[in-house]
Amino acid sequence: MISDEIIKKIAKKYRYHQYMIRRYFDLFSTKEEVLDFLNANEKGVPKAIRINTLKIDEENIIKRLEKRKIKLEKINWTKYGYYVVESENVPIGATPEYLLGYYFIQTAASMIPPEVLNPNKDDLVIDMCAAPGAKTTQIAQLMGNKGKIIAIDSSSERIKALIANIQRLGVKNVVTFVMDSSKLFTLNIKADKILLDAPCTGEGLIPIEPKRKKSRSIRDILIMSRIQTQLLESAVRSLKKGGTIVYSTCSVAPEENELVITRVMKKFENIHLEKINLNVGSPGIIKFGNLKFNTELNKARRLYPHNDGTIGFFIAKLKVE
Amino acid sequence: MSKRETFIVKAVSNVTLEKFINFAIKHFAISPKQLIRIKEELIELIPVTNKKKVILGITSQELKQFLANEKKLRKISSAGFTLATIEFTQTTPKINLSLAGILFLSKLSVKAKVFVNTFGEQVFLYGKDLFKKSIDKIIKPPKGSKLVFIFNSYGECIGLGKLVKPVSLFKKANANEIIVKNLKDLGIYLRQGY
Repeated sequence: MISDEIIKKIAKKYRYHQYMIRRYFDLFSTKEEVLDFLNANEKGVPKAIRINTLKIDEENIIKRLEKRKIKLEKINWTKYGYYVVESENVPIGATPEYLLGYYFIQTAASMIPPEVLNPNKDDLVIDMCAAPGAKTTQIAQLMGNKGKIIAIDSSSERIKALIANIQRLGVKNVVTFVMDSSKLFTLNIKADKILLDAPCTGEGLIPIEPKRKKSRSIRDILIMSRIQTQLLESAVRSLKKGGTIVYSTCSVAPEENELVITRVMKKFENIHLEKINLNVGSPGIIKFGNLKFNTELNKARRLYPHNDGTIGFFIAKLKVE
Repeated sequence: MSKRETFIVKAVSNVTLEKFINFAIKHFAISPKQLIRIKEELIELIPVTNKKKVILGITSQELKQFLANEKKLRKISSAGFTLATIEFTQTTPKINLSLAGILFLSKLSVKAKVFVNTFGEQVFLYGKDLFKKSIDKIIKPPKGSKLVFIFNSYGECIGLGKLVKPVSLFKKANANEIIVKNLKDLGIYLRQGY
């Protein structure tokens, strides 16, 4: 049991709420790992892009960006992801190549969910919380601009960014729709595959948004957990038999991840988790403090900045029988 | 917070297709066959609150078919990408090409092209007009049109402009004279903040 004094000292040093530090001691096995995690959050994570092969081939764009002194390095656990290892002269989001839709600026971890969803050209795919469209346009790319994707977002303001990105990347197979995705099942449309990259408290984003250290309370996490549960339930009801749901968040809080899935698995008996074959990350957890989760959750993946060099991220693949 | 328009989706009508084809012939000498060939992917979106406007778009054939049969998805925000907005006024219809539409048509046209150097590309993407010194080459638009696609040194379209000087006078113009007015460029994506 770690003392309140140590918690207070670490929270002060790294400028976090004390409750967060206490929870990190429940999440990680040793004090060293907690400190590794906090130090990695201080360092940030490398910028990354996804090359949009709907518009250009990888070799060509790599050469073009090299001429602008932008150097890329392949992220070996993604299909089209590259770290931006050097970009001295030009901001990566302001090149003509960016404007031509040749790539999308996207965190490395966020490239995983569409790949795990593994959509094919005959699928009807629903992206439940789609704006600003990093993952929607990636799904479109994986489907070769064929098939159909329903991209939903609750905000008519945010959907403008999604549409702008669809235009820029030359995506043809997406219909966008404003609605509260927790009501998705009322449309009575049954999808083959659903991506639920759920809204979250963003606790995993601290390496790129340090303000998050002080901006959310435990109450925020619990409120978000309820919203996420409603969204996942709606996803289950909107899926064809034999279909797949990929659930992800950029939060490390177990209440927003393992707890949500445990609750929904309790409510719907026809769901099970499928192992994610990914050579990055660590297994989902089955216990956190007093909370116990479905034991299948060790098939999910957690990514951390200190282990994986990414933002904090959670991903699970659910199959509905 | 502004509320975004919603649309009803339909297969492209002959009227809309004809207006668009006529526009593409008039300004860019594009063969109608090239547009009729993609008819299966064309759709039109009609704003719920303005029946005099139509958005012409391109979708995958699978999405088009799905939307034709799926009546639960009413009042959508977009489908595929937009080629143009057509406003049916009392006289001639007003056609406003989208950026994706400009890029799309530029690949079908052999006329109406202005090739710019690296400096010209930079200036144009900042939303500025083009001086003579920024221009490497001009391929004239069809007679009666002044619209031109702007191409960078890689031969990629980066926007649409309007010639403000006859091509015959281009050689005689001085280096800092404006030759092409910027009508729309890809820099909008940045200026919009997306």
